[in-house]
Amino acid sequence: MRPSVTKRTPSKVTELSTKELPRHISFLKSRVDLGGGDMDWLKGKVLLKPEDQLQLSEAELQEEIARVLTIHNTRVPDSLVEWSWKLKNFILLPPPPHLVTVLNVPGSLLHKDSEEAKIQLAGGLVVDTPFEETIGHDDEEEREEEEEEEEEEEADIEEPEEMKDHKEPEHEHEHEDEEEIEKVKPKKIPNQFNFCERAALTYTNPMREISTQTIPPPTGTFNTYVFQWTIFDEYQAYFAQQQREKEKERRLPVLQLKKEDVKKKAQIESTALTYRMLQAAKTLERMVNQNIFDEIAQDYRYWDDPSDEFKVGEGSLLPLWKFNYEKTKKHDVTDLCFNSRYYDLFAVSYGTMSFSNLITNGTVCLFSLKNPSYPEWICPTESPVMCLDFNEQHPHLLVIGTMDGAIAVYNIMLPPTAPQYRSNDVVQKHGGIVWEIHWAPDTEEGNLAFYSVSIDGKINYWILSENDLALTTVMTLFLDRPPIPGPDGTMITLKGCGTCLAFHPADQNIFLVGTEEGTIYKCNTAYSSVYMRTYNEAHNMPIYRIVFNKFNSSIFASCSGDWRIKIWEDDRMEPLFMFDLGIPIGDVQWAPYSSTVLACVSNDGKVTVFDLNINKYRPICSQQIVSRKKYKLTRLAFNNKLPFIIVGDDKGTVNTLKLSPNLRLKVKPTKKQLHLTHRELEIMKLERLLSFVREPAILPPPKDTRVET
Amino acid sequence: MSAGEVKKIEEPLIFHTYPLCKYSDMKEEMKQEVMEICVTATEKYTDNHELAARNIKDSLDKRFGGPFHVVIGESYACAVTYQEKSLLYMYNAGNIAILVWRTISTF
Repeated sequence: MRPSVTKRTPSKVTELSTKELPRHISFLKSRVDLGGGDMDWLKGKVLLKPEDQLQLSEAELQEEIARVLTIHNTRVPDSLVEWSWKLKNFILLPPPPHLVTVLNVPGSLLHKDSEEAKIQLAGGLVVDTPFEETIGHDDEEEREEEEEEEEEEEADIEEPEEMKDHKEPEHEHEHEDEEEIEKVKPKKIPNQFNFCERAALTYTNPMREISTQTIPPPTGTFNTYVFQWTIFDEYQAYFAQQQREKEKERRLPVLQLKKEDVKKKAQIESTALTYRMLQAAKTLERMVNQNIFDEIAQDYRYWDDPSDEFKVGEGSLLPLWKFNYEKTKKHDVTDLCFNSRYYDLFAVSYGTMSFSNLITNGTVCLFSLKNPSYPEWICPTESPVMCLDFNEQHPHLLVIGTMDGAIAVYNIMLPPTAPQYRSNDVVQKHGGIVWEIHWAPDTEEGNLAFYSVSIDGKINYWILSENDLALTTVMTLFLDRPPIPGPDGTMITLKGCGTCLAFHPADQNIFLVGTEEGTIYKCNTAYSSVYMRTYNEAHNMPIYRIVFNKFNSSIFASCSGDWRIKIWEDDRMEPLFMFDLGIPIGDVQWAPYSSTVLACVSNDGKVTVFDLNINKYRPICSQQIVSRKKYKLTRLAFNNKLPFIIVGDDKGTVNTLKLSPNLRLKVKPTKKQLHLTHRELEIMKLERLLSFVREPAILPPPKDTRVET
Repeated sequence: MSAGEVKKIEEPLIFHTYPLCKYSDMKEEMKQEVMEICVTATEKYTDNHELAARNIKDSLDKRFGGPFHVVIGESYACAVTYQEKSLLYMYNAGNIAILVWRTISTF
């Protein structure tokens, strides 16, 4: 829209302009004056004029040409069209609006006289209330209206009750008026300036990684209800229980549980628990061992050397398990003993046989065939253990003798912490190594008793009373030599050094003692100073073992360091048999199943088995068990039930050996002997054998015959 | 006639006022301590269970930490969820039952 000169209203414009003109001109003039004043020192400006400039007269120049601004926007297109598909023709669109909104700010100010302000001043209420209309009116109006209403109401009320006093309603009216005024009292309206925001900030739980989450602490639920009478009942019940307990305590004052007892009880319970754990562990251990040593276990029970059928008078030994204990690898096996109740359980004593050995402690171990890898029961002792024996009637009692001369009785049902009985170190003590120990039959009072023989030449009889050991010296082995003078002028009777002891199976009073001098004494417990018989120089070296035959109690065997085994008959000064193995023999034992079989172990690591019935001169089996250079065999024991033996060596190992069928031949009864028992047959076998070797008491000297050559 | 008479012996009623722990899964040491706190508080405020409960709660919170809750009353029923090893339900003074427990506080 360009400014256009309107020719229709020139007069008006001119009128207007003439009014304002003087001021306008003066203003112009001043400007010109100023310009001239300022510019006159400058070079005069030469105004360039286009050549075709219209020349106007003075009047024409003076003419006022008014310009009027209209709202017509030139930029807005005046004829917008659009194709209409409906009419199939272009249609004219309405012109776009001339209005452009640049800024729109809604004001929050109210004019004081406006309706809204009045409402607010009058304590305006919420817009939606029914009072909306009335509030809009003036206070006065409102009141008037209300009054009118009131009056109307009064009139209504008065119509039925004309009798009533007229003052009362008026009074009411006034009262209500006052209330109305109170109501209308202007309230503060919340607005931009009278506003208080209220908010509550809650905890914002920070984001956490799921891996930091833990299991919430365990919770429980508890439900209960309580009334006065429940409380009362509880108290009564508790009181009654207290009374009962008191009575119990009165009755059994001994069983009063003190705090210590409670502690003890807890301790016992805990030990019982660990005991059960141990039991389970033990079962598992045995199962594992059974799996590991399955082949050996099969052989132990079922394997018999089939080659024995073709070998006459010869047998063999099959090695089975080896038992050892890590801590006793340097000890010698000094004694072996099977338990009388459990045939697979045996005790091994670890000590030392050589006296240059530096070993100062000992151990007793119980092994079971069911667990070849670890002892069932381990009891360390302060001194090397030299001998042990299981009680026959009380298979849980084990008596041991040690190198320092002490003896101790253990109950193997208890943990191996302390012995049940222990000899007094000062009063009741052997002077040296206890070489052999044997349980004796119970005393008449029913007390247990045992014998021990020691290197100090004494045979002691021990009785286990309730709390302690009672000691009786049964025999002192004085030598049959004249006393020799001592260093301080006294005479000393020499004593023999007892090394082994054997009780007569039939007569419990009679026993045999072997000594280091090689003498065997036959003694009786009834006489403490007299020997019943002396086998002088039975051996030339210390006797290591004397054993009675299991079937014939007048026959006994002895072995010694002089390489010999001798078999003796009671009351005969000369041995019936004599075997020389050419090596010191550590132990000899009669077999429990045969009257003529005996086995021995020697220092060269061999086990030798004799069966006198088969061969009177040679062993039927002599087998190297351990390396000849490294090991010596020390002790041997037959199992009472199954055909195997255990052999101890000087490196703490116990070998188990199975006897082949030829080593355990049984007597075949003839038709006449069918009614006889095995034992009788064995006795007869031995008797028959002995009749061959027994020499008549008086041998008729053979007649000298001269052989002429 | 005298033979037929049955002499009635009425036992004198005994009122027990000692604290009696009805149920607790606390450790023995804690239990003893809590019981002592409860007894002293209820003896101090014999006629105001609310004050006693507040007292117990405050001292337990201070002593053992964690939000403890205490209910003291002569007859009420309740079912609560509690953190294990923190519940004690006892009677005291022969007529009030005190229930103390702790809830889990931190997550």
